[in-house]
Amino acid sequence: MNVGAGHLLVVAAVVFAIAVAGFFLNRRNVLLLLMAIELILLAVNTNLVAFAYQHGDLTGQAVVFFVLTVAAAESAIGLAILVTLFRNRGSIDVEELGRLKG
Amino acid sequence: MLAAYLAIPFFLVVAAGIGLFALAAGFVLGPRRPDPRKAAPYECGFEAFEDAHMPFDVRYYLVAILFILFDLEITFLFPWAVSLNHIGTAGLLAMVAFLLVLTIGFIYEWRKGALEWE
Amino acid sequence: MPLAMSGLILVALAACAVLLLGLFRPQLAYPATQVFLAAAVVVELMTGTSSGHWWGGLFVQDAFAAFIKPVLLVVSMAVFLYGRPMVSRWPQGEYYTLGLLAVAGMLILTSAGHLLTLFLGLELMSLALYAMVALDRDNDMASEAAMKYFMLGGLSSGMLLYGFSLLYGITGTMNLQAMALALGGAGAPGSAVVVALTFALAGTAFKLGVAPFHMWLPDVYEGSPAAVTLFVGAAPKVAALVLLARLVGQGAQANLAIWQPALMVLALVSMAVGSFGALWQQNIKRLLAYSAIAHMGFVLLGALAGSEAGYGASIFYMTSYAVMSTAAFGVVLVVCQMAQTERIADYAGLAERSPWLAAVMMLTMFSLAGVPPLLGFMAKLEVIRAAVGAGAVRLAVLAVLLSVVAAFYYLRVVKVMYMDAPTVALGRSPDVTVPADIKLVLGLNGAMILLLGMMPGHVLHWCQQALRGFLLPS
Repeated sequence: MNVGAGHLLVVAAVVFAIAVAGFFLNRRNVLLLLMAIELILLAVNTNLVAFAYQHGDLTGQAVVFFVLTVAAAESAIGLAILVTLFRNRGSIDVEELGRLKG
Repeated sequence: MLAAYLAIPFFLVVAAGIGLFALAAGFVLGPRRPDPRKAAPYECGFEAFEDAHMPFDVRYYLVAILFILFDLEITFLFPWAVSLNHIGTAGLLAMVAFLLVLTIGFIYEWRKGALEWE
Repeated sequence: MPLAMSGLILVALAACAVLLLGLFRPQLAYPATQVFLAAAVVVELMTGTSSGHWWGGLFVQDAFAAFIKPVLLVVSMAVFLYGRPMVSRWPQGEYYTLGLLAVAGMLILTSAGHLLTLFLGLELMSLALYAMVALDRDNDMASEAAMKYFMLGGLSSGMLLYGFSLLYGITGTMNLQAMALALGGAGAPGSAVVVALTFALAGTAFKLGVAPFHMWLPDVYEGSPAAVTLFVGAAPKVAALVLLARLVGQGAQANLAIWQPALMVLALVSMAVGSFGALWQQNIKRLLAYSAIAHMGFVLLGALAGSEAGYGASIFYMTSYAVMSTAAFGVVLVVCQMAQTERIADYAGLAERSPWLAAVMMLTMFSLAGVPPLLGFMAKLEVIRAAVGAGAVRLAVLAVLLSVVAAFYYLRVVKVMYMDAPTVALGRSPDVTVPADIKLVLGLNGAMILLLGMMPGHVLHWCQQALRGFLLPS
């Protein structure tokens, strides 16, 4: 059996689904939401690499570099917001995020 | 083709097996006569003075954040270095601009005291 | 280096310069920001016409970009002006740097002819906005709002990007023009295109704040400090529409049959949620948040036509909305400074205390409600005309009915300002002098709402011109 683009796409889809499920099912810790977001971006990267391989086109692989960097910047800002939230609230529970009423 | 990778699952199974065997052997064979002093966490012969599950200092987050940012910029340097012969002066200037922006960020974090631990 | 990039480079340089100024000469951060932005407006007006495509579509300058960029810059200038008194209590360099970075992101987005720059521009804008919301570090509500904004924004970016990756897989290109051709061709598999566009549309709807993807919007509007809400509520909305126009309008222009029904549903739900949701709000920022949701629904009415005239109407609506939203939050900010309150009930007696402020607010509220002859009315007229032109007659009728519902809560604000007896907040507050330049620009802002409403011809013409050649000839 050859591992081809199709298999990678399935892996990416599974990772994406896990991440989105984790995002909505998690009721505990904000840090886990941050990880779910990172996981989504990893799924996207897998997709991009798979398609780049399939099309024999380097654009997808180049874009992965940018997505990686943006993901790092995003998690940096997420962590920074997390720290300010923790300083103000003393907790990073998802349940605690309900003071602004929807 | 895939058979070449067969060694990997084999290795994983063997590694897990050895680990489990060692744990199980200790559990089954080892004598167990617990008393309060023995069950207490060992801290270099002192009385334990802190819970082992202590929260991390928030400053570690700051270090982690700064590290991530400056670490990932390297991803752009590698492909740039490899292809420098093809992209000429424009490529060189682009990287100079990129690093200048990074330096401005660095000056900012330095002046803000983000690099001081205390 | 294309000449048309000069404005963008100027704004990026400004962000670096202001960051350093904030460290060494904080009091210069504000004037430097305004000078750089004013220079960028001039540069954009001079170089905007030099259109073309560069680096495989990574940077595109067309009539559309030439119209949008000055609008973004001018709106941001007004926002920085109104926000100044409140911002002067915070670390200043950071606020203006983040603002300038967000503006740079919007400019990149506006000039994107490629999925990569579309993504990078959007992220530069969004990341700066998340940080800006959390800038007032000791403000408990602001950090909660920032966390919600960040989480849902990050999720939506991820969805959008997943859609991008699928579109790349289907078409083998990230250039929007090439993508439009490939998606229109016979080779594109229908179901895969539907999945890809669904993800991309969901992400875009999130950024626009269209119901049912609006959960973050009221909380972020209410929780952020007013100076930040003001920023988030104006220029980034225009940028989100640009994302929709570039991605769906240009990239997927051949697939109208797929996304038009989706946009219709989004528009209807959004108008309904926005109109009914605002009825019970006590906080002015929250009220304006629901108002924003309703207005985004109206914006979609134009876009769903999928024609150049339709996008023209949408852009006109969005520009008008940016003007109105800036004016409304400008007044909210002044009242915040004056009486430390955001409750609508506390606006009672504003007409006596400060007649000009109440007058600007009244004009804005009437305009947001769509009362003729104000700007908001002309904008609504145009998008409804576009929707009718696209055959969505029933939707257009519902839009009119829902705007009648919405008129009720705008009128409530006016009634409170002019009829009710002052509450403690406004009655006892010490006299705060409003800087003359803020008074002047707020007055001009109100005058624009009135004058452009009575004579919309020029602006409308520019909007239609800006969209000429936006779509590929079919």
